[in-house]
Amino acid sequence: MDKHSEIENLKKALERQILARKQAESFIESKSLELYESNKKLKDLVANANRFPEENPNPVMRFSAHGHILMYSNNSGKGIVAYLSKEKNGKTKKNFTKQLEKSFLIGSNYQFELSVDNTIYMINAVPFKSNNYINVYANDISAMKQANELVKQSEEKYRGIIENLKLGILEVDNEDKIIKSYPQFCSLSGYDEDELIGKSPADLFLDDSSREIMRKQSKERLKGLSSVYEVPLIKKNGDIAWVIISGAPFYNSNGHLEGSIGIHLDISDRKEMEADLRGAKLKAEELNKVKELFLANMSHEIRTPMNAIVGMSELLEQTGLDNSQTKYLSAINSSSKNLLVLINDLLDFSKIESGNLSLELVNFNLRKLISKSTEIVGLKAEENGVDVIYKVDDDLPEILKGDPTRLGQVLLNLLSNAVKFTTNGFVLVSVNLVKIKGNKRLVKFIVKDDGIGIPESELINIFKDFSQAKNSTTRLYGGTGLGLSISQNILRLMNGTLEVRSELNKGSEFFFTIELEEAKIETSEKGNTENYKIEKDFRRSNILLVEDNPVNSLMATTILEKWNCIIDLAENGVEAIEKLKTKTYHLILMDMTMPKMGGIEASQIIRTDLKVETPIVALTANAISGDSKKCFESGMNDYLSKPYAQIDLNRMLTKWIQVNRETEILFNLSKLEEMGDPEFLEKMVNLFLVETEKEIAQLNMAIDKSDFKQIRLTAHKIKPSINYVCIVRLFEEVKAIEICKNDDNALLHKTRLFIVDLKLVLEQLKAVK
Amino acid sequence: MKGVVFTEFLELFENKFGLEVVNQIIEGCELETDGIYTSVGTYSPKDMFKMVGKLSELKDIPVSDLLEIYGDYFFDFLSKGYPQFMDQPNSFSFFESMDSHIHPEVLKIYPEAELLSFDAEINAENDMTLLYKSSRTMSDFAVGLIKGAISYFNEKVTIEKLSEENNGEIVLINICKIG
Repeated sequence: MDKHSEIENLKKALERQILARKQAESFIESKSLELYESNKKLKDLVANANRFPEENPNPVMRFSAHGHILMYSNNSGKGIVAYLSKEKNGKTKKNFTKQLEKSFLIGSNYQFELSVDNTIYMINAVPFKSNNYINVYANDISAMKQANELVKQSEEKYRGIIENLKLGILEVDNEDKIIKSYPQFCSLSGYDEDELIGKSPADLFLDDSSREIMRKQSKERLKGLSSVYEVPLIKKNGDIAWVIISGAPFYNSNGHLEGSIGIHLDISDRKEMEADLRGAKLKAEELNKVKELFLANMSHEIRTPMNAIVGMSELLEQTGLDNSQTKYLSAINSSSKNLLVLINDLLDFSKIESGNLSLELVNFNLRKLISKSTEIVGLKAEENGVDVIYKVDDDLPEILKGDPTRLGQVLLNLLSNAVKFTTNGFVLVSVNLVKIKGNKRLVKFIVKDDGIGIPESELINIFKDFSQAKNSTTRLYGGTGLGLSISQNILRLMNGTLEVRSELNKGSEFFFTIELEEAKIETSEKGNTENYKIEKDFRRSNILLVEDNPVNSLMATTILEKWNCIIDLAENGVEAIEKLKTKTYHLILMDMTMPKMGGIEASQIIRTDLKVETPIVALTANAISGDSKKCFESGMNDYLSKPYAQIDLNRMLTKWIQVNRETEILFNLSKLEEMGDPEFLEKMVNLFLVETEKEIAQLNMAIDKSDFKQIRLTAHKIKPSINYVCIVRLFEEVKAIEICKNDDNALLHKTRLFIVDLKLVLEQLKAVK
Repeated sequence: MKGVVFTEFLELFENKFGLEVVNQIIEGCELETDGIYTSVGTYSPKDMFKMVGKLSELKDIPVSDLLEIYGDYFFDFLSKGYPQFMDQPNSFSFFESMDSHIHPEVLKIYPEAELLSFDAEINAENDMTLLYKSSRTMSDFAVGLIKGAISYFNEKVTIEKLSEENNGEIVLINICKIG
């Protein structure tokens, strides 16, 4: 290696060394700076640490081991030091020193309060045994103390309020055990708080049913829900106090459910009042029922003699009277009819009052209803010189659906008023179609007259109960004053309103609009009544009349006998049942109210125990609603309201007695005729007559003894002769009796019916002989 | 990598092969620092690999041998420079104290230093396993350091690499005392 390159190498190495040195120098420089700054920070820190107690706003002091010598105090501590050094505070100082000494002896932190003038300090003494001194840190707790005092005062205030409220407060834990009871609750329940703590309120205060309520409530409370409920609470002395409980859950500061608070309000007085009110309401309802019953009874009591009067006068009419007798009789008739109207008005009124008035929905002929209504007032109209005219809209269908009876009642009332208060004038009834809604027809009815009219001042009163335009009206024109009130109420049920326009001395106009349904085309029932012909011969039908009133039974018997019926009388249900056990009837006419046993009870026994199916028609004098329903429920077939006209009774008989059946020829001798000459025939028929009488007697005896075996035997025995002599139906009947499996009343009844038929056969055979 | 590793490396091989070889190394490698190192600085380990590689090429000595030689030398340097860490009775306890005692101390002075990890396990009185873990993959340098330590404590051992993982990032080294 030459010198030159050696120098080059050294040069390069030197350059590297120089650069490295410079790098190292700048590195050292930066590290020195870092070191300087760290040092400075450290110095500040140390200085701060020394100043720390000085800057503390709270008093910091250091005392010698036994608390006698003050070694250090910061600025804030000087106040305390000055206070303690005053001579008059020697006692406080002594105490203070004692406390410090104590802390040094026990060797751990020790806290106590110190009052300096108006400031209260919490002194925290921290002893350092190894250094032989005690550090003392004081905190001004005056504000905190004051705040505590305020909290305490406010707590006391609210506790005072709660305790003075008339609310019993009870706290229970989650296990439903009482943890606190406030005085008001104690006085409510009669228990002392010590007696309640740890007990379950449900066990202590409640009966079983309330306990169930409480249990449900407790479950709600565990879910954190509040609620209010009422329970009877059993006091310590056994008395009951009704309380409203408002229950609410309460939570600790961590939000955990701790239990619930029940606030109890004593509502015993209110409960008592409620009970009184309930009692009063029940009493009122009871009174109402009594009133209704009274009305029903009264109506029965009035209608029974009325029935006799009307019926008897009808009978009397047919006995051939002279002119004056006829005149008197017609007076009796019209008076009793007037009386009936009055009674009906009163009954309707009471029905309306009790809400028992209900409407029916049947087909009727509107035109005929109007014409009939005008006819009824015709006589009176004639007397007063009044023309009654009616006009019915041609667009109205012939047959409508509604309550013709009630509608007729309203029209009749308006018409008779109009006629009553008009002399020498006219009354116009017009019926107009207002609107068609589907199958509904809105119909306006107007009854107009040119009578005395009503003064404007009286118009508002006329629809009131028992009121007429003037008090003097009753004297002049008669009437109860209920007519318009009843009409108004009936129309309200039909969703209509009765209205009036009137001018004194010019006339009145009453009008209303109601909805009627168009009827599906059927022949209306009313049509039949027009052409009804009284049936005068019921061909010795057997009728059982059950009636306790001798006048009524005399009347009914007289009428029925006139129509060729055979009447058996029973004075009450018991007698009727006895009669039915031995005899079969075509119809039973049953009074409702009778001594021993009434019509309803008797009918029930007849249907369910006797299993007799004979039609029963109730004769009822009770016009109160619900009677007809009771009739049908007890097994009756129809009812006739007393007093009844002869025509109505006749209609019932025609409806329920099949007269035709009795005119049917029940024998058929063609089989016998084929078998031989007339002589043989006559012989056989005679034999049948004789033998059958005996068999009938035998059957009757068997029925009396309920000897079912004998009945079947006899049926079997006579079956062949029935086959030869009677029509097929009788043969079927006897066969049915023979093979009937059940020993019951139905068989007895069947047999009785068969005997009736058989007797008829005998009669018919005797007749042709 | 701490600058002292570079300065001592250059010094060792300047002494061994002369300044010319050092210049050749520095000029033959594209170094980030142009070959200027101070012991207190911190430099890229890539420069070290470049320089070792160059030296191996120039002198035809395997890299592993070079690293081992340097490790041996470097331990001698460290033991003289930091005698406070050498207060151990033998090599095994010294190795054991490395991760728990010496390295935490080093980190206090050079927080940015990336130190290798030596998990030491003494199997028997004369048998120990060291687990070398370092991203530098300089286990040969570590073997050199171990050798340096052994001669410092004046002991006789056999050193054997038992296994290498992750391209030499994790190496298991067994040390067995003789006699």
